[in-house]
Amino acid sequence: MSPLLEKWKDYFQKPDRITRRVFVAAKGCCAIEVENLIASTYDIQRLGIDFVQDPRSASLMIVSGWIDDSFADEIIENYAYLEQDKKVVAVGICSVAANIFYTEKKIRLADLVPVASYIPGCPPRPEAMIQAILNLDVPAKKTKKMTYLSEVMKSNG
Amino acid sequence: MSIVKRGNLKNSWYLPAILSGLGITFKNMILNLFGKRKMLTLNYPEEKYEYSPRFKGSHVLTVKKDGSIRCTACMLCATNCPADCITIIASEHDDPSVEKYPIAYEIDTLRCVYCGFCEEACPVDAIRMGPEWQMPGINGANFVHDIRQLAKRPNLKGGVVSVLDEEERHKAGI
Ligand code: SF4
Ligand code: SF4
Ligand code: SF4
Repeated sequence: MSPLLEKWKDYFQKPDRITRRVFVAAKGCCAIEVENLIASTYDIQRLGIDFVQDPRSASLMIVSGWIDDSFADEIIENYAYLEQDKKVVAVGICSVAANIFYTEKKIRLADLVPVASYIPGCPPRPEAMIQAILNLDVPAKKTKKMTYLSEVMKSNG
Repeated sequence: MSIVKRGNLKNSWYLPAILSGLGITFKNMILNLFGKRKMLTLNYPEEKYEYSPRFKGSHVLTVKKDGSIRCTACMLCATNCPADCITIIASEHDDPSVEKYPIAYEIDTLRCVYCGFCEEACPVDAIRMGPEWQMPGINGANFVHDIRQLAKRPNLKGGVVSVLDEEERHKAGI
C-alpha cells in the first residue's frame, strides 16, 4: 500500500456496523416511540441505520400497533416488496401478542410474516429498539428448550 | 370555504422567516461543535440514559435477609393483572411461621404491559418494577421469566432486600 493510502486508511475501511434501511409500518401509540428514533435524542442515523419511505429500498420492517384486517393486508404486501435478507421486528405487545386483553379477533404479527425479533413492552423504550436492530446481525445463541408452567396448566385445563 | 388573502407586506416576504430558521440551525450546529458535553444526542451503546427511581422496568422479586423469596403466594398480583400474564403455583412451607411460598412464579413478558398493578396489589412488598428496561430478543429467546431470573439475575447483584421487617409484619397482622 502506498504511503498516501496508508495515511487515509481509516477512510477506506469497511464500517464496523452494517448499514440498514428501515421501512416503518408503525401504528398506535408505539409509533410515537418509533419516531423518537430519528429525533435528536436517539439519533439512529449515527449508527448507519436510516428510515426510508419505500419498502422496495428497505431490508428491515418495523411493525407496531394493533393489527386489524386492512393493516394485515398492508403488512403482507409490504413484506413482499422488501429487499433480499428480509427481516421484520415486532414492537410492542399489540403486534407481538395481539393485545393484552382477550378479544374476539386476534391477529398476531407472527401469524402473517416470519418475525426476526420481538420487543416486549407497552411501549418499549427507544434503546430497546436500537438494541434489537443491532442484535439482528449477531448470530443467535442456542437456548435450552424449557417447559413453562403456563403451557402445562393450559394443557391440563 | 373562502380563501383569505392577507395583503400584509410582512407576510408576503418569506426570506426573513427562512433566515431566522437557518439561524437556529447554525446556532445549534456551532454549539454542538464546541460544547460536545451539552449535546442532546445520547450515544446509546456507549452511554446509558439515567432513568429515575420510579421507572417501571423489568420485574424484581425481593428477597428476605436470609436470601429466600419474600412472596407468600397470595395470588393478589395474578388477580389484579389486566394482561393475565402471571402464573403462580403455591406450596406449604416447612417453617410453621411461613404460611405459603411459591414453588413456581412466572411472568410472560410478551403479554405484560408494565403497568405496575402487580406492584400496587402486593401486600408484602414482594414484587417491584425494576430499574432496567425490558430486553428485546430474537425469535425463540427466553421471554417467560421464572424465579431465578426475577429474583437473582446478575444485574441485581444478589437480590433486592426489602426494608420491611418480617417480625414487624407479623405484629401488624399482615
Ligand atoms: S403495545 Fe401498548 S403502546 Fe404499543 S400500540 Fe399497543 S397499546 Fe399502544
Ligand atoms: S406490570 Fe401489569 S401487566 Fe405486567 S405483570 Fe404486573 S400487573 Fe401484569
Ligand atoms: S401479591 Fe405479592 S405476595 Fe402475593 S403472590 Fe403476588 S408477589 Fe407474591
